[in-house]
Amino acid sequence: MTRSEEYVLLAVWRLQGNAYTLSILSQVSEVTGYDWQLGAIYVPLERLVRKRYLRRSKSGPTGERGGRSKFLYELTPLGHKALREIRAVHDTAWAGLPKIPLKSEDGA
Amino acid sequence: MTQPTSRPPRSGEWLLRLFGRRENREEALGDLEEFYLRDLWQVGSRRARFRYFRRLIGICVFRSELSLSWRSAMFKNYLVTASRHMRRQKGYAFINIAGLTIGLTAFCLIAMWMRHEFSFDRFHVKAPFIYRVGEKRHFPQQIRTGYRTPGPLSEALRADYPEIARSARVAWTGERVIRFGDQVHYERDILCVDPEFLEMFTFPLIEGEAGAALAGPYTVVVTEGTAAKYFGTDNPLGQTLNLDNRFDFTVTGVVEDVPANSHLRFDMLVPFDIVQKLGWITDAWDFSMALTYIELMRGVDPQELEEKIAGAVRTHDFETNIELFLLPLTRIHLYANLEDPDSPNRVQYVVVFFLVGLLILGMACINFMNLATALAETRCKEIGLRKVVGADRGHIVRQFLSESVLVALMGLAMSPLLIQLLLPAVNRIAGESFALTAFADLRLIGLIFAVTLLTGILAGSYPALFLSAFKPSKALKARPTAPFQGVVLRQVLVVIQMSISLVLIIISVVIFRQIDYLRNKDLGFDQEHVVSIPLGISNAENPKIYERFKSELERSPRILTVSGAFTHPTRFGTHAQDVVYNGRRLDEDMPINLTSVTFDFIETLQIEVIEGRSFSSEYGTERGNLIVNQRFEEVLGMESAVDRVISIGETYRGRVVGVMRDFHLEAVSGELIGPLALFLDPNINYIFVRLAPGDVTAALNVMKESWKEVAPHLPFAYSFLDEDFGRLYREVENLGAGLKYLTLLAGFIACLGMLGLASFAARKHTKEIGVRKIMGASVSGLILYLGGGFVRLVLVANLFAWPLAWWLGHDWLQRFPYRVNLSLWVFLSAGLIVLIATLMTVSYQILKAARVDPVKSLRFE
Repeated sequence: MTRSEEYVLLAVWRLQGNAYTLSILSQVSEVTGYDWQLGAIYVPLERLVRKRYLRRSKSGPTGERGGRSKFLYELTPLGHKALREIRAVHDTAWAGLPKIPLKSEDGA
Repeated sequence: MTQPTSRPPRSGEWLLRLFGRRENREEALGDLEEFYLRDLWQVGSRRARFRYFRRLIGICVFRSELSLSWRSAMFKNYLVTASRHMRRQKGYAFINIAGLTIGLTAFCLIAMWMRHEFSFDRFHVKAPFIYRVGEKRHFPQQIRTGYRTPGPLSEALRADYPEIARSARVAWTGERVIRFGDQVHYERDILCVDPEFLEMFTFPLIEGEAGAALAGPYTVVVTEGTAAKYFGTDNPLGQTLNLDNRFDFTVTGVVEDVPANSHLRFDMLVPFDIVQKLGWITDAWDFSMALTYIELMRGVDPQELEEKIAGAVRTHDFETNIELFLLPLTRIHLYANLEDPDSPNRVQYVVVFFLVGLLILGMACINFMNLATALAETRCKEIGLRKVVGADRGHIVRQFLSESVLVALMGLAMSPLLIQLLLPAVNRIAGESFALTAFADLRLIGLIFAVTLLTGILAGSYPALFLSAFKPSKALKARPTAPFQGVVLRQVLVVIQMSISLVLIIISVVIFRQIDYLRNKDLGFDQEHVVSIPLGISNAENPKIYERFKSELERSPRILTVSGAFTHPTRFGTHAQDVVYNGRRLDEDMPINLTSVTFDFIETLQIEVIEGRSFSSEYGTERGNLIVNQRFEEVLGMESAVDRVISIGETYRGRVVGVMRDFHLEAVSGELIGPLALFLDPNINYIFVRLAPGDVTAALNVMKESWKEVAPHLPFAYSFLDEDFGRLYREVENLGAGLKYLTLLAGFIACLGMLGLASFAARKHTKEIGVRKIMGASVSGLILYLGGGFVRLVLVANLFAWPLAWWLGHDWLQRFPYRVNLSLWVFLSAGLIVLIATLMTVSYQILKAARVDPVKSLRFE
């Protein structure tokens, strides 16, 4: 799983039922601290759907989208499992390490 | 916030449809719209729109970036494979590239010429609003179309129809003597125009003012070139040019030289009234003498106006038979033949050449297809391997298409060289002066590139589909064989190529035979050894000059006879006139030519007199006597016309003293010989001199000397009558010459293709040849065996080509009243030419294969 897929999957989990492209986009941008292109969200989303980590469902037409439908994403059990695994890997990988001094802290 | 701006631009949806992916188009559109609406509140509609498009492009680019990086890597690989393949098969690659170069060169040249043809008169700023008024004259038996209209029409139309903003008449003065100081020249292209001419048409003035330049009497506007010719570097404004020793004109303006793509060509412009002073009738409603151009008010529907003005002449002349019509300025060059409105339009030639160009390009494509499928075996393993490592059919198709497009582009890259080589020939045929810079036009370059790409795709389409169908399991076998040999298809394609070549050859031969026929046809008079000398038109002093010149010349033994005529025989036109005979009017208006000549005309042109006698000074001035031709006699319906008194038109009445054999007026390519009547009159515009056989230069010198004595103020300009007549066939000759070159190119491409196929056949049969030789086959027997296939193809091609060529040739010949027959030998010889060309290209390869030591050929793998 790529980094961007990881972020997107995490964002969907965090948004809990209100995950659609724009909310995912702002969530991911917030977390990473820089602006993401729409296209950069579509690609990992599509891959995750294809890997059956995410389920895509269509809501009814909404006014704020000019009468177009919203596409909502939610985690599948497989997605949950993947997320847990990532978490586990991260935790084990980072476990027991002393804090890495960051440059800004170092200079302070 | 207004309603329309609250929605994002419609084009976004369209762009996304074009470049985005189908799966999430709906989603992306929704997202974009939501963003847009948010932006709309925050930053206003303009910036919202801007951001909308920026995001949209972001989506498209981001998506394609991923697939493009893949594709470009593969594409690079395709190019590498293609160039390796070409390097391994240098001969075949050469045939492909050379064929496509020739085909594309032919197409480029034709496209360049077409662009020029279609650019005619489009440089006028007001071109879309300018129309020429033409007339249809209704006669009981027929309708005659003409582009000249009566003199008063222009004024009347503008006065009667508010839809017309401007109108201007144009008439030619004919050849005139122009003098400036001691410079004297004949000028042919002097136009008499109304003052508004310069405001309607875009002939930019360098000096003078468009509105005022031609307003005064005896003013003249000259082109830059003419100004330089007469005045050198002096200021042309205010200079005086003399016309025919009668009128002095003051230069009031200088225009830029007329562009090559203008149907109106001129060196000088003079006010329209001059026409009247030169003796033409400009106020009669039944005499069509001027071209009438009108400029419409903006927004006027030309069709509605055409309907309105169709009967406009009737309001001024009750007895008229004229119906008016409009012709857009930009269509005049291609769709209207001024000299002969009924003859085929130029646009037909343009279309024919375009089609032939495409055919030649198609032949080059066929070469590519044939070689690619024939050499399929050499690509089997490659394709098999590609498929094994995951290429699907689409990949292979893309690979071969990019390969063929590459070859087409390589062909295009070579063509500028060939174009540069061929340009002089093209310029000679088209009568233009094209340079490579003629291609500096974005639309033309775009067209050429588009056609090149299409050619590549077309050439590669069949091989791509054919090769991509290989099954990897079979393709990777130790000795792969292509699943489908494509032999039949190759043969069909070769037959198509040969048929095209054959048709082109036959048509070219037919055209050349027709030209030959026209040039050598007995015109009814002897056109050789006759010199024609123009005098200024309708000069009062012409008779005097003629008489003195004649008496001077007749003393020389090098000159046989001297005569004169009002019109040049190449321009003997016919005009419909009443013929009254025995007080009875002939039933129909006959187009009759009535021309004045001087004594000895019939003798100088050596026209045979069948009945009665020729004009002779023994009978005095012969005033009121006529000599008619046989056709005239037929029209009268009498056994003999001699001694009959007839009136022609309203003015002329005379007694027939002789009947001469029919001779051709105008070009042989024009109409059938019409009725002609000659009468004597001293007012002439052309002098004809029959030279004694022998030293032509000496005779010309005699004439030059005499001319200096009798008319020192006039230039001595002469031409030979047979050349004058020959010039009439230039258009047909150019058609023939153009087609000849294209035929050669087509033939060359076909030969290249056959060369490739023959060498392929020879290689494929190497082992078979070896076995046959061991079994005792002779070299000649082998050639017959292998070459026989090609001969059979030629025969089949003849079968298709002959009917088509016969039909086309027959159709083309119909436009000539005097024409050659489509004789069988034309077809036979064309077939023979193709057969010989085929055998010559094929036999070398076969001979080479047949003479190889069988031991070697049996080892060949």
